[in-house]
Amino acid sequence: MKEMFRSFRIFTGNYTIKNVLQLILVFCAVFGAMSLMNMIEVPEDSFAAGFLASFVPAFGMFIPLSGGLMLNAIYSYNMQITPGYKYLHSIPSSKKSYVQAILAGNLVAFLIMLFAMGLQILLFSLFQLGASPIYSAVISLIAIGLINLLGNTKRQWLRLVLLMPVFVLAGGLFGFSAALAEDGERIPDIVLWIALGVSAAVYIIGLIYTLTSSAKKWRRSE
Amino acid sequence: MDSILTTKGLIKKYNKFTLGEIDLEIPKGFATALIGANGAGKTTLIDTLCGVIRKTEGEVTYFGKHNDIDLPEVRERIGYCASNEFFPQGWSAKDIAMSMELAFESFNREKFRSLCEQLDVDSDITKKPKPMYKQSDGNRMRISLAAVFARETDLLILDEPGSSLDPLMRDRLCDRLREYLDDGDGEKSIIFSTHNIADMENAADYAIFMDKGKIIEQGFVEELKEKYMIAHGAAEDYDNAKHLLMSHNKNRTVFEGLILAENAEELAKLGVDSEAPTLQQLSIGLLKYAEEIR
Repeated sequence: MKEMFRSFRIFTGNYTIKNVLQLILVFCAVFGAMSLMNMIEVPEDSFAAGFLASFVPAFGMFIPLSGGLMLNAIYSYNMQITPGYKYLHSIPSSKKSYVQAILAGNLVAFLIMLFAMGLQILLFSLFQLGASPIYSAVISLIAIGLINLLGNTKRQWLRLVLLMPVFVLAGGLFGFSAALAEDGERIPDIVLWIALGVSAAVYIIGLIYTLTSSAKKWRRSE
Repeated sequence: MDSILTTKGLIKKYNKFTLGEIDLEIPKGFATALIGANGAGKTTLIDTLCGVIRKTEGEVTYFGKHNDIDLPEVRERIGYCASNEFFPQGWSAKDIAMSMELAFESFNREKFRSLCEQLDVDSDITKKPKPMYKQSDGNRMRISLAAVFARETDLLILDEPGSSLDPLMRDRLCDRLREYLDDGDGEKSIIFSTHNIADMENAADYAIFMDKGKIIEQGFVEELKEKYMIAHGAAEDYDNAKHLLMSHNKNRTVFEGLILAENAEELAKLGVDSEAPTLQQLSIGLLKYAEEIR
């Protein structure tokens, strides 16, 4: 475990983690502002209340994805066009460190997802918002799974093309569920659980694939 | 002569460029300059030697016994620095120090800090250090060099270390390279590439000239300066002398050209003087010659 996180830090420096933490901090700050407004009973029809009520769930959907973006940054170092490629390929045991960094990146991404979901559960129940934290779990698992499956591809455009719909799906799902909630309806639980199962399968397949193939694909970009 | 690094039949093929076949014996205890025009293959050769790109064919032997660059003990002994964007662009000196400390056993954070201070760039203790993308090209290179010199290595491989530095800093770099060799007492070696040897002439003991992926000449600088000469003559003598000139520059009044030293006497009979070339003159003469016979 220690080795794994050592490799992770070699690949990410403080920079990537700092970026993810900043994103989470912004989310927490907005969450705190909402709680405060709730306590001081700001009128629900005010601009601030309306803005936060719509912004937080949408923003919250993307927080769990930040772990995936961090993982994506690790994979990008296997492409010669990425600054840092030469440094990371010149370190001792770079191949082993790369695989360990990916594994640690997956773990961190998963933990970020759980943390963000915990915050969302609090948020959504506190403000009776129409979104479910399961949406973001589904989206995160699919996104991380795809990043793992396509991380070492030479075709960067393919990764982008396949990830784009996932991001669009995040916004779409939120909008769809919010519209349903306005009519007093919601997506049946069974549908959500099936979606979660499918996304978990994508994630696991992606993880197994990357852990068995990344060592061979290190330094294959030229 | 002991070699720090040898290559045998080294080839790296790209779609539109092939490096090699390269056979090299780089002497131990000296600074070797890889000299060539842009696109000569210097960076490809360095990247292949440092194992950041895979070779297509051939063998490389490091420190006289290891054939595998991926052995951690080989990596630990090589200090490599690429010409630009060596580190991730979002990283600051702090990230670099942290990553290198974890990656390399011999990385010395104190030394890195002190080198950064000497080179007048952000270090790991600078408050709010700038990320690499906000640094100038010169400062990026200084930080990268500080990082590489902060390790205990036996071989430095530097790709165009002087290209983004100002003349004063290039001069300091040459001093630093000489210090590195002196400290090593014959055990440490340097390979660096450059397309403008004028500024780093004092740093080179051995020179390898490259053109279009091939080595066109190599040897100790002092020996090369004995093998070749620069001839100077009046323009009217040019026609008589031209069959002995490997490459030349000519204007209405005078000409200058690279010759083999063995032909100096013959030229003298024609009234054309010759003298030992500088490394810069030798480089231009040889690269021009390679271009002409290509």
